[in-house]
Amino acid sequence: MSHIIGLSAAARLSVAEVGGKAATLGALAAQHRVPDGFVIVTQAFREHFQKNGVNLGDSITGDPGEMPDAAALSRLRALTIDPEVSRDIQTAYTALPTIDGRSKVCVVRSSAVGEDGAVASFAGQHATYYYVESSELERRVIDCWLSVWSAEVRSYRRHMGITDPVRMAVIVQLMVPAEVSGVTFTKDPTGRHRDAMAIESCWGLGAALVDGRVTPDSYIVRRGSHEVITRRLGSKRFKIAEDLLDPVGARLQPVPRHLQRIASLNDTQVQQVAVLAAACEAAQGAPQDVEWAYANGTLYLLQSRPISASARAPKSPSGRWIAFKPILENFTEALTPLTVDTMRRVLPGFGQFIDGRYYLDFDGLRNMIPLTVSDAELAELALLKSERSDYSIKWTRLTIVVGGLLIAYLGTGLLWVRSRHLPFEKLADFRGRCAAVLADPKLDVVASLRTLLLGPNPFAAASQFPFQVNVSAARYFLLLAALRWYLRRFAPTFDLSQVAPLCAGTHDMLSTRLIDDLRDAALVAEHTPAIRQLLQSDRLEELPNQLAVHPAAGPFVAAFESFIASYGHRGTREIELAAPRWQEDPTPLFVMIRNLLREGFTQPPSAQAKIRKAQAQSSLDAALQGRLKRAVARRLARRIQYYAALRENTRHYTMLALTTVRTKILALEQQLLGQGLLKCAEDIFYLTWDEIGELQTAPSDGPRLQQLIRRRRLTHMRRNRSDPPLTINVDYRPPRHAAGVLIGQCASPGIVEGTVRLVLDPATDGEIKAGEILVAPYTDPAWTPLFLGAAAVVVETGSYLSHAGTIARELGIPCLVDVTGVMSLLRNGQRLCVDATQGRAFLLAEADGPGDAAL
Amino acid sequence: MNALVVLIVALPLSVEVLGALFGLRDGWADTASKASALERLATPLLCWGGLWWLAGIDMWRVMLAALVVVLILHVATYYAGRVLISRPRFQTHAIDTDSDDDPFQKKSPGDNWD
Repeated sequence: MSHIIGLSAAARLSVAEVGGKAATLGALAAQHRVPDGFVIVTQAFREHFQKNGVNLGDSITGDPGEMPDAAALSRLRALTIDPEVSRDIQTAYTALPTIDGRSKVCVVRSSAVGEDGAVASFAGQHATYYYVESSELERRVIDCWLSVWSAEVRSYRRHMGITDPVRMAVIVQLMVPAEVSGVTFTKDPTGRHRDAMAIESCWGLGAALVDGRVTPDSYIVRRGSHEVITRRLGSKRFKIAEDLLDPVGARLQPVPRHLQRIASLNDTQVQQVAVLAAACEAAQGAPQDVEWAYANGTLYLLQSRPISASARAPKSPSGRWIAFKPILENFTEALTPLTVDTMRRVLPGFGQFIDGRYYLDFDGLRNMIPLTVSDAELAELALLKSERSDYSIKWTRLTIVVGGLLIAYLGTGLLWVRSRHLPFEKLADFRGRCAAVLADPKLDVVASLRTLLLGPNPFAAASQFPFQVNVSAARYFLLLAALRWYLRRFAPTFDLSQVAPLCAGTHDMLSTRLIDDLRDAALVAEHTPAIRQLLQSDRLEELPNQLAVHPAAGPFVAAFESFIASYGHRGTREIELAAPRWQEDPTPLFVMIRNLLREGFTQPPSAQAKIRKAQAQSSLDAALQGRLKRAVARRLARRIQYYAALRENTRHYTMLALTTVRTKILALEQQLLGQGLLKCAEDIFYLTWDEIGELQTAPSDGPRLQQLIRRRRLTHMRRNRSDPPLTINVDYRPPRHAAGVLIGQCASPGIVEGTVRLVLDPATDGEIKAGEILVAPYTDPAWTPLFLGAAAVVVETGSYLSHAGTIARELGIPCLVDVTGVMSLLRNGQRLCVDATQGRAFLLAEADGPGDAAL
Repeated sequence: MNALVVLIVALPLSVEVLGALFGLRDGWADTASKASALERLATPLLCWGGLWWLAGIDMWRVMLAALVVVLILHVATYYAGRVLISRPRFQTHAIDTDSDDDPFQKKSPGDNWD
């Protein structure tokens, strides 16, 4: 068996004979559990191609060898392996043991000489084949060999100036039926954490990570102590199946909903993985990139290689930018390329999309603000963090700004005036407009959104301008500031934390009506035991089909359909056009209904808010002397109430516009999938409109665009793993948390103690127990039902104006917003005291977890 | 009273009057909304009439001009917005700091399964 050696024996041979990967793996196999396998040495490669007339060059004479062209590659692909080598391969395969009695399915991977060097890495360019059975083993070995001349590798060799002759060994290894897999970098590749490792994990095989279809869980672990510094759970919607019994079956499978948002590794496993990676680094003497998998509770080392180059920091854009808080507080993830390209074509150029997030021009903002402020102070103001009111005014600039606003008022004032007393029920007329736009084939997606956001004509009813009215409704922030000033001036004894309940209690707000309507559906389910039973299933995605045929489902289906008719266009991440809406996937609603039934939230939610409002009004009456002064304060409070509801309700219909254009995009996607121009659902969201045009007019560009889609998926995934920078090229640092104390802003006052319940996405994780403290990265109306059971809400981003604050005030629960990094700092089950009135939260539990240490 | 001063005061008042009139239209289908919209029309209309009375009857051209200017600005703003947004030059730009990254660069864990 001169061409084949066992994997553990590879360490005894030179890199020139087995390639770097096999040599390393062979050495590691002596110390760690590595799946069994064998190596087809470079000599087999050399003999095979030299015998078939390929000049492989010679490193001694400096001859780089030939690079076969496409025709030659086609000829070489048709060849078969030398019978002697073929026999050796089959013998070695037969000798492999089985894992847990499963059928022997292998992975065939390259181990080229110089493949994983410290300077260059051919990662991802040489071929790897999974689920290879004995019958196709030789074909895959040849394919693996031929990948040394693929277009990507040739381009990379040219790019890196590599002229060494090519030599490749091939590793054939048993595939591990992995329940969980991942990658560990023994040095944080983002460079954000010194002295830390980065671990990423997902369900099933780790190859799912490469496709960008899975956002993995990520852990930053301190080197040495292996203490977890931060953990961020990903949305693991798909996995590459670990079931090797059906190697030709569908690889990419959906992950059951209840597993999508739970950690794929427990604390012990994180420690084990960190220890394994540290051992690999110690053995290799350099930072390593370690691939591993858990199968049946056993940790397997799949690969370890040097980190070729630390990831470069992305290029910083020119100019100074600051995140646009009103969007950021509803959605912190990066938008997909198609959403960005659609939005940017309908928004005037006040800002810029940078890496999928919307930023305002910081210097432009500075020129507009008539205040003398430093960069940091301006950033605080723009990020709605500042509560100061003692800035000195630049009077000249103020005059210019006021003049400009007056001129703008003449042009836009009619809508401004009309929105002061808009009948909310009239807003529903916008549905007709959306239906008309949807049915109009002459309007493409961008034109549809443009006409829906800008309105049909300047004399149309105000209900046809939900977007503009929504923007104008933000004036309630000014009214709130006016009310606070008024009360400080005329009622100094009044507790200003009572302003929030004073201005709450709006019955016409669709976001709170949503809770009532969902509760109505839950009440119907409560009285139908069969439906209650169906709602307990772990496979709620199958519920619509079950309801359709269930004889007792009629009343519940009717109530639920009524809910969908009103709110079906909403959903989590609704600003993102790629995000499914409730009408497409109602499963999150079923989870919320189940939660309502389980926790018994069947009482009207606003009762407590009404009591608090009455108390606040009594305090106000006692603190303010004179009927006129009281009337002014009450009038201001009523106006604030009205505009808060107007803002939420017009947002409801603005989202209907986005859902309408999403429907058009999905129709186009179906068309492209049908024509074979797109491979997978959702791929369309990783292209721009120009690229979709190219795809339609020049289908030959398809492969290039497929590569582009894959790369953008990965980039998108990577961006969503990190918090968005609040500022770019601006010297500003958000306030840091003190030990055991989280600092944020009060959005709804109150003090409460409870257990931390982290929720990343109510679409996959919508259950909360009564009395738990909901901790969320951001919120939008799809989160509203979760508020019902929460004792308090803590949100990573947000402001007083944000959805979380508005709903918490309506429900009368404490809400702390803008708590930087809270999703990484806290862990489920910790005890927390939220003192929202003071803008603080205190950890009560013993410091037993990484969150405490990090704090 | 000076015509310019009258015009300057009449312009925002015209916004209020026309806005209230449009508001009447917004609430027309519903009796209660229509009634309250009519009530809200009273104050700006009274102010507008009061200004005309103060300015003098011969200022009717100025008062009318204020209404026309506001209407024209309203229409012009709407169409200017539409036209501007259709021009790529005035649209929001999008930049991608990774776009010209070395495609072979390992960027993070998970980018390199092979």
